[in-house]
Amino acid sequence: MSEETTSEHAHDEHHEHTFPGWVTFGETKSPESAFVRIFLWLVFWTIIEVVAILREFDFWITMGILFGVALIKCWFIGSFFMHMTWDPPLVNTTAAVPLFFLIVLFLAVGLTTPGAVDDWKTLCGF
Amino acid sequence: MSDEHGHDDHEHHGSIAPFVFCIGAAIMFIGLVMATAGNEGAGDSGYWFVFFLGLAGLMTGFFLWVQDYWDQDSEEGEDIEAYHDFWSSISTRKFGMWIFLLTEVMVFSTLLSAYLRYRAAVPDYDPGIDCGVDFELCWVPAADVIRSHLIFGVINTFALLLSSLTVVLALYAARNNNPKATTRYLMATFVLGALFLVLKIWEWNEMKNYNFWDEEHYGCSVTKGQDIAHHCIAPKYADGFWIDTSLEGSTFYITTGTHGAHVFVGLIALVYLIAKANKDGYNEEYHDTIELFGLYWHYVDLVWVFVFPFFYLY
Repeated sequence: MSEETTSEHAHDEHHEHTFPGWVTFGETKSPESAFVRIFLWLVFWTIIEVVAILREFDFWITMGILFGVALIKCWFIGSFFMHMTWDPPLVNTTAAVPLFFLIVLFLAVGLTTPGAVDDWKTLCGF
Repeated sequence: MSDEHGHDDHEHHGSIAPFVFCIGAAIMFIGLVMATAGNEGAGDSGYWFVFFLGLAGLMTGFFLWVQDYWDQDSEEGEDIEAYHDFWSSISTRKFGMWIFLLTEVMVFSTLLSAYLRYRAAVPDYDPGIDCGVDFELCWVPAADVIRSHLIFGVINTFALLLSSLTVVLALYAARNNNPKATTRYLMATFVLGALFLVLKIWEWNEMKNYNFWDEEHYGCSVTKGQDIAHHCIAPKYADGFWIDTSLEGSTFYITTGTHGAHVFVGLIALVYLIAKANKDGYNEEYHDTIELFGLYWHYVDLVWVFVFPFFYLY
């Protein structure tokens, strides 16, 4: 959303910020009040997280709630607070690169079966 | 900056400050690793010299960097934006910030995936399995230790979320040519960030010094997730829960400590932004620095969104 567009590549990064109606409960008066509502969403999701722990559901239900809520909060922060909804596609593409490594690390390292082959010498065959 | 606009701002783009800063940071971290690597502090303490040498370089680069921008007035600030043909849809500074955040994602991915790896490899405590005399063969998560102090983790979560909002409001206040509101929101962000760190230090202090296995209650029926008030979490935490207590402590303190360090760096940047806002004032044309800082601060918030359930709830 930079407005310093003085070069020959002058790009209008200053967008009118429009929010999905369900996110802001129809509030369109100003971006500021819309952001306050997004904050309230984040508070709501955090309360859900804490309540889920205090209620001591089944393990997998708890995990589903915790990490599902974390992903939802991640989406709210990234999309609106970090302006990714309104930024050019290049920003989203750039942000997707580390996600690839994140997924690889989580699946190939974090959640591998204990005792599985995980050393580089064996994996690379030397 | 294109020359056709008649701005000779090559001194900004040609600043040596980022280079000095990065080299200093690299030397500092190499020194830190070499000085502390190995078990029981077996690293070569002579490498602390390398660490402090790097720190000096980092600080030099930092002050050079600040000085570059500090002396600019708002109108000059408008002219430092540049667009490269290859990523012409966003400014070079913003693209650079995203690249930086890209590397930061990898840092925390490593820490969190290592944590997950340990959790997958070591069984959680359960009365039905042999966990050893001190429960050393089982994973007794930090979440169990923190449980009765969870309110501080929750307050910290709200503080970071609220600080993300105040950064956004500061940006929009600047865009609306309201310098006083901009400064107020930036100061609110600083207070919330500082609150986060104060609570974090208090929490660490409690966990380090608290007895989580009261001898009087030795042999009590320990169940998973038992409240801290029972003093009965695990014998291995009888002397407190600290970085060298167990693998649980190492992963908890390294991850939350790395995150806390990022908050601290953000506070340093906020001091600069507040001072700069008081000196020149951000406005409709000159607010890019707040936006770039906001990206960083939101990222720190984003990391906490995952650290909180990983270490405080699970």
